[in-house]
Amino acid sequence: MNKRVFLLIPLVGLILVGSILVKGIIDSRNKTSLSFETFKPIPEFELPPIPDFDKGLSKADLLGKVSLVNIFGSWCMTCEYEHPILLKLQEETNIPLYGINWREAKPQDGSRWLKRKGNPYTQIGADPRSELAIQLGITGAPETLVVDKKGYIRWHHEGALNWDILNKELLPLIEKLKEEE
Amino acid sequence: MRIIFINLFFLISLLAFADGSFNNNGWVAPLEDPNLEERAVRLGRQFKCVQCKGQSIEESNADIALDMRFFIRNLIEQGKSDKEIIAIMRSNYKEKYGDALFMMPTTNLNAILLWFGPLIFLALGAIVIYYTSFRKKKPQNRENS
Repeated sequence: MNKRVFLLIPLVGLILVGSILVKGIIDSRNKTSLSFETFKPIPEFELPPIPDFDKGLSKADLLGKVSLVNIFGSWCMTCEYEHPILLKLQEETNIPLYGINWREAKPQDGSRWLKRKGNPYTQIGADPRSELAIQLGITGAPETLVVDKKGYIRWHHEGALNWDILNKELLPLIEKLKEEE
Repeated sequence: MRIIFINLFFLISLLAFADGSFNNNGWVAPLEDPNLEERAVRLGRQFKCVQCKGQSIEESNADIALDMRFFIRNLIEQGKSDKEIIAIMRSNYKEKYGDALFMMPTTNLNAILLWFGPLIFLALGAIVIYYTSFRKKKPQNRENS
């Protein structure tokens, strides 16, 4: 009888490993949002302006305030979906929103797109060859970053923003970051 | 005659697409020094393309992969070592990809468990079968039951 107890070890092991795997599946299912918190200094950068705009974008522009950095391109369908949300966000809040016009086939494509659809951005820089995008860990457009006063990326969101994410995650986080020194 | 014109029209409109549709024209200029270029290729083969997983950035023609090749060549020209470049790329995509950024699986405890876990269970199973079936053939004195 005593020996038989040892025979239960594989069963117990199976249940243990099985439950870890099932937990993994459930956790990944619950993770609907593609955002993650992070704490990474934004690299030094200086992007040129897009055609018909005066100012480009550099790290110095982001310092001293909590800001949003949005990666977009006129070629990107999801950006088109996100665009009215950004416009409304600019209308309703005074959060500085900086644009990174990413991988335009022709430099003027981005400014044409903004002229047609309206410009929600405070300042825009062009990143045609992903030099900044790769340093920021961008894999697609749109993506949005929350940058704190000291120039650290605190929150990273993949895909389009929506009001649910804005109200539940992003805006409360910005309020919190505003209180930091 | 009309058909020829129509066809010509379409051919010419195709040319419009061929011109400047991509910043890099689907191509990244190799470095002038063949040794450095070889390094760039060797490095590029280690990184998975983040858009089209399963291919390295040297093999992929995705825009972001082309830009990463360009990015790596820039770092090499700046005199960065292979180790430094790998560390830079890792930290850039740390949160999103972790070890999955690399073509070669990394060896850490999790990976070792993943590879050898099944073997451990197989061995456990073998022990159980040994005790339940083979040992019974030996004469046993049944005390209880």
